[in-house]
Amino acid sequence: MVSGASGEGVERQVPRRCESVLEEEFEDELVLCEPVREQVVVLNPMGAAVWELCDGARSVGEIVGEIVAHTGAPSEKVREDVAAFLADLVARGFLALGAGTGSNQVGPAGER
Amino acid sequence: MTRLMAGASYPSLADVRAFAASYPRFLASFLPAPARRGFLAAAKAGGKASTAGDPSGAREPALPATAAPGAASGLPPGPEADRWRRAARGESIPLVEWRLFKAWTGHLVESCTLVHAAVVGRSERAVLLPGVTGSGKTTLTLFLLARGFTYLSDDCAVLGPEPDLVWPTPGALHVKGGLAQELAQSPGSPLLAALPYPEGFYPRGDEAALCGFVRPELLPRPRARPWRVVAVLFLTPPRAPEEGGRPTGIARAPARASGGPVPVTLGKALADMVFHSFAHRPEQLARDFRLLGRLLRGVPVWRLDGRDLERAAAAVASLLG
Repeated sequence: MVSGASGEGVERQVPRRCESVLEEEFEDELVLCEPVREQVVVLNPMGAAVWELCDGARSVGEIVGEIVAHTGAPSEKVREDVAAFLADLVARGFLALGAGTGSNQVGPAGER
Repeated sequence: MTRLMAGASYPSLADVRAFAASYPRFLASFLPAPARRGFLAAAKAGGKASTAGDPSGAREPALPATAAPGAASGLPPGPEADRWRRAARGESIPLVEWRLFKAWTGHLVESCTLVHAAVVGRSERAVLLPGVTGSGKTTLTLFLLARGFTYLSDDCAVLGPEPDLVWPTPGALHVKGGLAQELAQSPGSPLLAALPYPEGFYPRGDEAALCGFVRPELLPRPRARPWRVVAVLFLTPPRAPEEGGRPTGIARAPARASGGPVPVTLGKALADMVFHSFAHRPEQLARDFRLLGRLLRGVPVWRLDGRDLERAAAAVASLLG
């Protein structure tokens, strides 16, 4: 699991989309492309929903809360799945995790 | 050109040089005037190479624009740099063809979207056959050409400026062993000649590779006009799709197609094509991502097992109308 700045739990961190990311939406899929790192990923509807919630204002905990409220799935399972999903997108350069205040986007490869 | 392409396995050095002089003009004849002039200048200067065109590897770093092909100094040491050094000696027609086709893709990738795909057609309507190395593109292409389809490309589809326009790129086919080689060398072969690459030019496993030139009557007319893409037909790779291990939220790869063509999820199709584009700079990849998204929204997209040649040929014929 990705850890944040010292003293902050993961749940308080805010995922921010990297500004170089391109999107193409199809019926049940959302395709993301990060040209700088040459990464392409296809999200299913659940992944697309989490991605939409990564608006630079919601924390990881708030995103988990919204998914639980929407789906009724057990919160622990949702927390696990969302953490793994976000960690994957961070590793590939689509997202960066940061503190709760500031701009809602980051530069390519997580630069501000 | 025809005589040179058919020039047996042991052409003279003069023949090789004559081929090197005329082959760029042959390739350029399929391009509109501005692109034609640019490519001929690049080929004459030694070529701005992109190693992304090599079927044995994708998305490796390109040579610097000013590097002569013989220098290969812009490449890290390894098989690709070795191939450039050998090709620069111009010791055989297959090597000259390899170098000039690299110069071709290296030049066109600046202005067009190039993807790893075979292209066949009829009456200026074309079907793209994207597929990874080993998926059977060349085998299917040979099978289709033997049945009278027109050959536009074996390994590289050149798209643009609109997403459904494809430019003929009838370079040599890279024929590996197995069924492809049988088709290449059978009595009804669509090839004018199949010349061996020098020993050791390709890595282990590809040693039997042949450089195959298509018969002139199966080539498009060099009218410097693009053809219209009417469908995209993915050839399922022979290996099993990825299993498990993905976080929830990432779409799973589709099951291997068996039997006839099956519809494709467009998101996965786009990811496949972008991954196999020849882009080697971020702005090129972004351009290709956008164009390929528009292409896949605009034409039928199917997937089938390329090993069933009869069924694949029937599907292509049906798609071309």
